[in-house]
Amino acid sequence: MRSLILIFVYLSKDISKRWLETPGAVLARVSIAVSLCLLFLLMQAGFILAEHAIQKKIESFGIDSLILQTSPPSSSSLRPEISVLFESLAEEGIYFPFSSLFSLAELSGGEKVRVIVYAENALPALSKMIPGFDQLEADAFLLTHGYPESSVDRVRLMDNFFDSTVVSPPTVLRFVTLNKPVLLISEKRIRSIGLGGSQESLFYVSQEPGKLEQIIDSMETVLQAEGFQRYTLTSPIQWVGELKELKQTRVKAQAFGGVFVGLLVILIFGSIAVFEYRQNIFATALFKSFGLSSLHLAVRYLMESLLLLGVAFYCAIELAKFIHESVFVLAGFDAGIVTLEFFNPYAISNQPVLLAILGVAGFVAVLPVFLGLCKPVGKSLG
Amino acid sequence: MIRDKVTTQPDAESRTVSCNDLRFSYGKELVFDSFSHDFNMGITLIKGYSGCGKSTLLKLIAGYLAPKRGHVRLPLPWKKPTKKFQREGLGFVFQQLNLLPLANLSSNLNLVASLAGMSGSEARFRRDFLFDRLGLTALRRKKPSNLSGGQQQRAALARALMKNPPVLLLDEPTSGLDDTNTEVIKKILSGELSDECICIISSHDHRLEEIADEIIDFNLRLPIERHFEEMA
Repeated sequence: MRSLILIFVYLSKDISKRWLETPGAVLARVSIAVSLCLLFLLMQAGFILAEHAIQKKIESFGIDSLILQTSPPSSSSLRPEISVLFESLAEEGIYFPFSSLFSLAELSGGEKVRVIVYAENALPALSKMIPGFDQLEADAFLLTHGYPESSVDRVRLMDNFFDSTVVSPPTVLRFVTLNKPVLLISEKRIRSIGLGGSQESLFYVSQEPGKLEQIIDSMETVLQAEGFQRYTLTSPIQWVGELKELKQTRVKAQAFGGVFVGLLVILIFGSIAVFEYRQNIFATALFKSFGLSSLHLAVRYLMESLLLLGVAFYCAIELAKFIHESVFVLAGFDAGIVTLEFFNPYAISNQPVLLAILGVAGFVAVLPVFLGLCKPVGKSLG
Repeated sequence: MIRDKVTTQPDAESRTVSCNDLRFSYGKELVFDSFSHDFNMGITLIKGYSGCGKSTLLKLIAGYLAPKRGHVRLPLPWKKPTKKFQREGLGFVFQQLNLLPLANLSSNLNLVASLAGMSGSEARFRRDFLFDRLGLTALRRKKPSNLSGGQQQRAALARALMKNPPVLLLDEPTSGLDDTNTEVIKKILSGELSDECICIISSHDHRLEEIADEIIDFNLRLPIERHFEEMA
């Protein structure tokens, strides 16, 4: 035991002396490993953040929802209205056909809001989405949070003034309202004031889980058959696909990046270890001549390699944490999603892949030295 | 040429270093072919021209080189040159001394003693004794780079003698030394080795002949044409 301590002390001294003699070699190894680890960490964090952003979008939209938006038909077009075209869907979910006016309404406070027009066949959906909607004897509603519920606000639409009843917007409608105040007004009232020019839309929430994909396919077939030239069909199904693709890409990128990091670490650490071993062959051969096993000496090189990689890994983690927010905000991510308070991709427990890559690379890098240690003492010492 | 050859008795077989049919070459350059010899207790001096294989033989006996053919049999309990033998039973002075450059003289000796399994007190006693005998006490805290050639040579000998080894191999221990330093080394080799120690010295230094119990002249093993070249 005492001999092992003495050998360990001597080898540690040997390592530290070599580091002091050639700080450039140490710095080169650490800084290259830090840079590689940092790139790997940021790449991984970028993928994870992108996945989170999509996940959040899916969650907030609702996995079984869709929005269909069409451009206004041309005057010669004979296509049917969307509100009636897919009416049969009302039996299997929330079927809310609506039109968005191209004109904005003005609230009593001067705020301009979007105008959404609902037809008669949208009433069951509104009753399902807005509790107590049936009891409201009005045909204009202000969907907003900032006003007292059921209060009345005088609004102006073009040159028409009328009262709107304040209603708290249902969460399910957030992709229609876009979290902004909206004037919801009946088609009858709009016709009475003679306003036109609108974009036909449909918001639908399927109540049969997993059926949305099939519904979308059928809708697209019908739209094409009915001659709809331009329409947008938005649903989280596409995002789920995107998310899946992104995850697959992340795995590929991790594998490619991992191999890249590993190979460079092997190349750089290996070259320097071999170079230093050649310089240090005398001391290692001498220890072997005292009867010390090559294994002890191999451990010295492995220890040095893993120690430097460990330091580099730690520095890269800390550096990544430090620059994370600024890098990803610059890259266009929402500031709310990049904050490390809610999600920290740099926790050491989240980095088993990188740690494994560094461990394997650190080991492979010193294999040439292990081979060198097999050289007989008598050929190294004179 | 073998002088004062000590007769090998059957019961003394366990007290000899036996080289049997050794063959060794560095690449294509053959150094030994069918070399056999028993080295007995006492001091054996191997002399010969540079490159004749003296050092190689010592390295083969120590296990630092592996023979292409044949084997080395060591005294009991080791039988063959293993790591354990190198740790506990072997003292070796290299031609280039090879002291650990980062360790002072005391640490150089302590390391060998601890690898040999000597206790701390035993090692301290032995180290102080050797330092005293070799005139190194004042230099114990110095690193090898701060010592003269003669001092380093004595320090290397002290390290080899530290574990009081049953097999002591010295490769040119007095090369380049003045008479005073050589006398110190001769004195310790003739006076301080245990009776059972098998000491083999490779040297062309004639000053060591007087302490040798046996002398092997490798010049006599030269191929005839090289012998003439050497004589010319």
